Amino acid sequence: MNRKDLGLGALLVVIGAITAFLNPLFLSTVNLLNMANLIGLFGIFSIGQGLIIITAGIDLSVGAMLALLGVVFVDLLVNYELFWPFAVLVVLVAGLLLGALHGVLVTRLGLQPFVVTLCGLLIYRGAARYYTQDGTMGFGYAGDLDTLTWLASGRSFGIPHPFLALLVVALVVGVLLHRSVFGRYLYAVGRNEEAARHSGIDTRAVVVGAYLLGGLLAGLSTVLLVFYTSSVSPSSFGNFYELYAIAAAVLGGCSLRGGEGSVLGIVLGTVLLQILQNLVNILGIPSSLNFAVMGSVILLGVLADQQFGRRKAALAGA
Amino acid sequence: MQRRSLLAAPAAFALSAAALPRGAAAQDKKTLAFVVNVSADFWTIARRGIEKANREYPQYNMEMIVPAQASAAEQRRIVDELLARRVAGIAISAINPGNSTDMLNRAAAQAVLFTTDSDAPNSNRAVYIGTDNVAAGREAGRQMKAALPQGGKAMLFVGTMDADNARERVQGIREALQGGNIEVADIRTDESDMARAKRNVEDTLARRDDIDLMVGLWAYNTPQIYQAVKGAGREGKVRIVGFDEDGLTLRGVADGTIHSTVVQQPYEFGYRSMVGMVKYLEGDRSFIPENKQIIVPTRIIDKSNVQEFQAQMRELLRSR
Repeated sequence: MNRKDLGLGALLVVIGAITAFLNPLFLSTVNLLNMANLIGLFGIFSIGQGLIIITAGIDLSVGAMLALLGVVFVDLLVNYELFWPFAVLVVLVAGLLLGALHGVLVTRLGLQPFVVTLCGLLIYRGAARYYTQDGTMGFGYAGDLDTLTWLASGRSFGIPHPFLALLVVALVVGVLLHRSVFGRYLYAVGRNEEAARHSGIDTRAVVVGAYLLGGLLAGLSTVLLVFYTSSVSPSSFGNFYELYAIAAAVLGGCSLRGGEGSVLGIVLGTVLLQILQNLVNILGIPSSLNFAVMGSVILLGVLADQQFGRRKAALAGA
Repeated sequence: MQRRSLLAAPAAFALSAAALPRGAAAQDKKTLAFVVNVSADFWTIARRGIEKANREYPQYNMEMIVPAQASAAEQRRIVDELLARRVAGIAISAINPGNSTDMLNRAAAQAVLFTTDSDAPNSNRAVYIGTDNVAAGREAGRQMKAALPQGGKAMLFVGTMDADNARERVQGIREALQGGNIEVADIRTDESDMARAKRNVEDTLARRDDIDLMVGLWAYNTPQIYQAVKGAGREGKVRIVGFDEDGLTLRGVADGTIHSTVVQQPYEFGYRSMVGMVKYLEGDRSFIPENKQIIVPTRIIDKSNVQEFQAQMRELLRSR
């Protein structure tokens, strides 16, 4: 655990304590489990986003990808009545393919990640709306999907499955990022791509790898999110979610310049974002202030973190 | 220079591809456009009504246009483009009717202008065909009373409160509840994010156990309430009243978790708007009442009629 993660953890504890003091129901089991569920849903694609940001890239297309994969997924299940493991597989592979496409455009054709994924955002959103003729896709008239529903939105030992999925993903990606050669290459490429290339790293493969993982995790999130809302409206599903992911990653210590960040940090960042949304409801703050509360607390947290860091640096210098 | 021309090529191609069929159609057929506010199943049903009108009047070219975002600016761009294409008639569900009078009057000066779904009484529109949302709210208020005869606390959920139909429905609900024993505890908004809509309900259920009734004001709110209440195992203890005809809402009505839902008749919006514009263009204005409002009444779907209605909706939505 590095200093940034500790700082973020402290911020979480302070906000949690204040909220619990104002309304003890914040710590009720029901509320904590609801929150764990949402943390799982949002954390998975945030980790994908974090990996891409570590390579000094960015993925603005996540939200639109969720919508496109979401409508295809529901269509396969409801209208084509495809056996569900195949439908899940299709969505995961489609996520991988879109990730691969971004990776190739960024590395082989030398386009900027911002531009590539911004175009992705526009194209996927449009494709999703065209595909459904602007209708909402839902399970309202669906047949028997009990097993998949349980897998994607059920609970085991009282713990919501999306949260368990996040734990597994965080563990796997954590090992990959912090304990493997690939992980070290990711940081190296993000910090200085030129230097990494000169030291013999296949930087293109590493960057493509990050986008692939990002796409796969977006595919997994799609499956879970679709079962959370039970319907996908192509024009609004996942709107803004890329920004939640970027915010979680940056809060968690990822630098938009690349080369920095940790899986634990990204997860904690997601937790903070979800707590902030939860406390607006739990404390009965008007819904209209939702985003304002989120923005203010993040800004204060980042400010405090920076001041703290500066003082420490000054102390070390003296 | 070379780079720019390369970029321009696909754009020019896309433009010409899009313009060709329209240009060809515009020459021999008059076009009637139906401009909606946002993409939703609601409008898919309206589209079926438009298709029926088009079968009856094949000499017209009828199309539905859905903006990319639910913003007044986007809608204005669409209307300007339609006027540039010289369409003969526009039926529009204005996103911000109060402040769009200029745009609407410009349209009314060049084409037949109907409003549908949300009215703009201050504009020069020929007629409004749609729901009276205050009346729909009153209807929902009566359903709330029926669901909770002993009284109690109700929570309302909606996308945004700056939309006219949300305000009017709330106004209607408050009017109907006036002097009764049901109190509206709060209204939570989700900015059209379905996941947030569900969490708003979950958080409410976690925070307060004194809420006896939940009302979903927009089409997607009710299914999210239904699922969250079921997830928390509070069916029966928390009653639900909804709006519109989402598949899950109807399922909830069928299994008794949802007391009833107030549905509009978008099929009629689409059909009557198109037929009305055709009549208007052919000089028949007798169908327009004195107050220039044709109110399509809402219906109540409860346990008694849900099965028949479900089958009907399924049929309408399937034939896409």
